[in-house]
Amino acid sequence: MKTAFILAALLLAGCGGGGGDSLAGAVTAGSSPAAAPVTMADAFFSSVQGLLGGNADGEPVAVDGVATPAEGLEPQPLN
Amino acid sequence: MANLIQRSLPAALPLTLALLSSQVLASSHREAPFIAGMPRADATDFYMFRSYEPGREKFVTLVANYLPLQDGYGGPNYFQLDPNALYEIHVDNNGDAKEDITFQFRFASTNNNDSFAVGGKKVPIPLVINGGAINDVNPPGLNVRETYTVNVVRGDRRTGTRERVANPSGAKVFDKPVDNIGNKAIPDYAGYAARHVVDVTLPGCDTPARMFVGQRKDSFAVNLGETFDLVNYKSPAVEFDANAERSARDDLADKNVTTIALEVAASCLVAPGGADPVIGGWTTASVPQARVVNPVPFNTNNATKEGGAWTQVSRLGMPLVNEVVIGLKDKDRFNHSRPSGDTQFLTYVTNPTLPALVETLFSSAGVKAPTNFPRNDLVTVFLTGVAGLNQPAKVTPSEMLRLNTSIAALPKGSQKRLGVIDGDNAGFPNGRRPGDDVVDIELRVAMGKLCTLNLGCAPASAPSGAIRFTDGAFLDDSAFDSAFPYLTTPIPGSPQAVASRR
Repeated sequence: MKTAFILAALLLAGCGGGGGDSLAGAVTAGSSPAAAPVTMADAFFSSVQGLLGGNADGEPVAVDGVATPAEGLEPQPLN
Repeated sequence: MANLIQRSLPAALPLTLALLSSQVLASSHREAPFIAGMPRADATDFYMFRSYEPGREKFVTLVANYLPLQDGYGGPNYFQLDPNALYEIHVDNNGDAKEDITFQFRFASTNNNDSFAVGGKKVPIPLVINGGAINDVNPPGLNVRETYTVNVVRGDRRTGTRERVANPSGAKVFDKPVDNIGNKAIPDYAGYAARHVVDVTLPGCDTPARMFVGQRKDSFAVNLGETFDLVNYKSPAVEFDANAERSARDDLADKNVTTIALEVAASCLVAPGGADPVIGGWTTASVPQARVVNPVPFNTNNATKEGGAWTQVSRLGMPLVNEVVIGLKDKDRFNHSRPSGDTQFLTYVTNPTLPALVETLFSSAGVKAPTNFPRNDLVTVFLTGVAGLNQPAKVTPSEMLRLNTSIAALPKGSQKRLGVIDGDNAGFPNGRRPGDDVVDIELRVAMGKLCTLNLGCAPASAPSGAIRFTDGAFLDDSAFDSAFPYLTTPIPGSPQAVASRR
């Protein structure tokens, strides 16, 4: 549970990097390259997406086994 | 004697003192590591008592406070409840440690997006108020309107039958007053807030109930600063200072809190048939299990996307349990737990650490912790209720506030601040009234007061059971109103009471 929130807050493992206003887009030549994009299939992001769609009146699920979120990525816009 | 106690504290004890002081005596304000980071879902106090407003003798008042340590001047956004959270008050009326009736509160805030015309352009203002009048429900002066809805659930809180609460006109959305910003914006806050007390019809209950949600002066009292400063009390007990109970400042005296208050006919809370007048109550807050932060919010209430199963993050029944009873490693677990699973926490009650710490701190003054293990006196108070007072006919041991609704209320001015241990059976731990000084009561009970009364243990087991321990922050019924919702008008954020230092 606690993990879920931390993950969710830190997560944002979206694709990133492609947005024109992202930090990645602002990297200049000679700078360190931006972090590699992560696809929607990223295990952590998929886990959180699965939780977001859960039944509000159902039981919360254990999150101990959820994959560790990747770091160094840009957040993904939410629709 | 008090100085002797202070001087005699062993030098090697600061860690122990810090552990004690950082955990105790803040009712349930920021009491566990995780909830300390989620103040809007943090339950701070829970009260349940027979109404003592004249003419309301047949009612029970339930009060759940949330969002601790509010400063009146906390603008510009002040203290709205979480629109993504589920706030609940649960009642168990058959002693099985499971909720039979649950009142569910959901909140919403609407940004009117009021604008000023500036240089030919309409520009949204940065405030929750717009300068118009704030004197009635949904007044023109609000830029942000906070509303709420209420469900009554019978049976399991998630799978039971759920019906919406309405006022006599059928309206099912209620307004929460904006916080007490100040005297210029809201000249008559007491009157403005009072217009948000509503009569409501509870499905399944023939008698109308009353309801109020809004900011109040924090009802808890505690000497918090000196507690954090290595229990730097000048007078920890009446035996050391006759004025000890009033010897310290209430550090919450300048704080507000957000109150959810319901007044329900006792007949609608007890089990059908009314054979057992004892009910148990507690409050919880839950949030969706998943939260994703929006990197580009486009309006208010859009900074996150949340969803999934309601996941409980705060729990409060008896005061101070998660502070002084539950060990640090299990505090989050306790907040996420239900009464029906409380056997997992039993050792914290049967073998409590608080009395041992008090003995360590004040051993030079001869203070001794009770020696009766398991501490069945504490099991009785915290987990089953006291037989003949507030124990259900059939009881599953579990932590909740228990009230015998057949015991008549005492009016304001007649209540004993120490409740049952001072001969007032209408007070804590038979329910809890706002004026019950639960800090002093629980300190004394933890140190064996009940043993001196031969309740669950013998006097010989509690050598210090008669010592009148206190944090020095005095509380009694004079601090509260004599009518619903009893908790008083919040402290305004303006004007300043004291001029600033130059």
